[in-house]
Amino acid sequence: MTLTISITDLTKRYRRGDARPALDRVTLTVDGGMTALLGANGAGKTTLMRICVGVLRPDEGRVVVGGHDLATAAGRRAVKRILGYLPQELAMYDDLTGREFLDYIALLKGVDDRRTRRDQIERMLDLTGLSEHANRRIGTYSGGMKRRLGIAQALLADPELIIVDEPTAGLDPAERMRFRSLLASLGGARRTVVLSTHILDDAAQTCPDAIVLHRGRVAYQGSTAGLAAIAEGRTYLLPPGAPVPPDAVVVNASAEAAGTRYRVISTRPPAEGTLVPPTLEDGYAALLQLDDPAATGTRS
Amino acid sequence: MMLRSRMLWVAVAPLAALSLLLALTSPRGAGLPPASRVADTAVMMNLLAGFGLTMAMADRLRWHRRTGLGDLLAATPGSASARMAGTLIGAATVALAPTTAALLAYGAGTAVAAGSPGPFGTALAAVVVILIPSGLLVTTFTAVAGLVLPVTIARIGAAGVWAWATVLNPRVLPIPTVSYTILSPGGGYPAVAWLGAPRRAAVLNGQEIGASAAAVNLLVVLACTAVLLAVARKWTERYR
Repeated sequence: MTLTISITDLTKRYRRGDARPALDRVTLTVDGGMTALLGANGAGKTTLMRICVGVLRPDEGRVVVGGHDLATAAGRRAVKRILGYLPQELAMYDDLTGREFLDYIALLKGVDDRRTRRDQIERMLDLTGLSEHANRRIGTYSGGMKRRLGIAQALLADPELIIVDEPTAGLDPAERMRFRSLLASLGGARRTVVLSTHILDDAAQTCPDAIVLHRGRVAYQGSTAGLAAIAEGRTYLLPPGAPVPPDAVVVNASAEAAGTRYRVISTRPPAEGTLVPPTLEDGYAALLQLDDPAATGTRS
Repeated sequence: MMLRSRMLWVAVAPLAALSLLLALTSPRGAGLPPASRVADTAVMMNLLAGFGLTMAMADRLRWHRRTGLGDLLAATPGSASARMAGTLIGAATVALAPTTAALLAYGAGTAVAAGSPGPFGTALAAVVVILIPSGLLVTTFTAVAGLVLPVTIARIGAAGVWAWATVLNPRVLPIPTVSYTILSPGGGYPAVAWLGAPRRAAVLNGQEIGASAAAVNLLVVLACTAVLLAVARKWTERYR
């Protein structure tokens, strides 16, 4: 059975008297499998994740993870025992080698048996393609390698709950694809994985469910297919050189010999243009730019 | 990680070597019984080790200021205080190793020369009641200084405070100081009261120092360490 994250009326202000809280009465439920957490910069994704892993306290509201209430020290400890976390802003001890760092984190996660620890570390190094660099100091790693090491440490101790904040930032396309498959293989029936990302393609490829935060509030919670469907019947591909209608939102533009070809979302069909099936990116753009999420409220 | 610290090799280890050289060549302990000589030497080695630690420890907790690492560590199940204490104790253990080795070597040599194990026992006891408590205090103080100040300034500042608290002679420089008092972390009180060092190792006026005064001195050192550890924890939480 997978664990469920239940969040009720969560509010967080970083400064007293902030006009707009970082999180504003957020209520949602995350079930097992993979869920994408989407939203623009400043939408509150990182704040929400930091509260869910127990490193930041909310001002109001309640978070219960797998039956453990994060308002209590015992609840936070219990959640941390089953957690794999990759923060967005990743820093590691540059003087340690990759292997030593993983060993340290495994110890902190309570993997006390030396042989078990060694086996897990080898597996993670192998999974993240870092085996041959494991004895190099982290200070000599590239950004992508550090990211992979961050992923490896998050997966140590076989966590039931994995919360990863922008895990593919800084990875090259091949690494990104590899990580995506890895995450998808982990987010099976036994685990709950929350993936915060700006890369909608990653979410579309790996997550059956999505949450969209907008200015500290939940703008959407439901399936990724449902999010894409928000742009259903409103997504158009304009011919090269055709002008963008004034009320349309440009999702994509490609430069072609005959002129720029735009992919737009529009409530009114443009004079020229072909209706096309929407992608997750179209649905996301439609939700946040065409519709007013504040006016429409939570959609699911 | 401490083993890879440049300061361990350019400050701590050379100071430990210098302290051993001074112990072997200085006429300071001439005429003292062998065990007393070892105790007196332990105080001198402790002073030099303290300066080494102020150089080596200023960057120990700097990493914890970085949000990414702070969050990563905070998301593990252990207690933050225990983790921080472990970080500092581990670093202090490595950094104190050269001085410990120098003191034990001096104690062993003196024991062989004296034909009695007493001086070596004194050296062992000095590690426990002088080097370790003082070392932990300097480590924690310097690490906290490194959290709130740039590392170089923290090093200089911590070295200045260590000098003020342990070797500043108010007869030479008449400013208020805890050196040569029961509040000094220099190790003189335990050395005199428990290990037989001459009184000049702890006080300037030749007053007698009892076992209870040494115990109070040790408790003050340990209590200051605990308070500084709590400060370090609170400070690193601010960065999250």
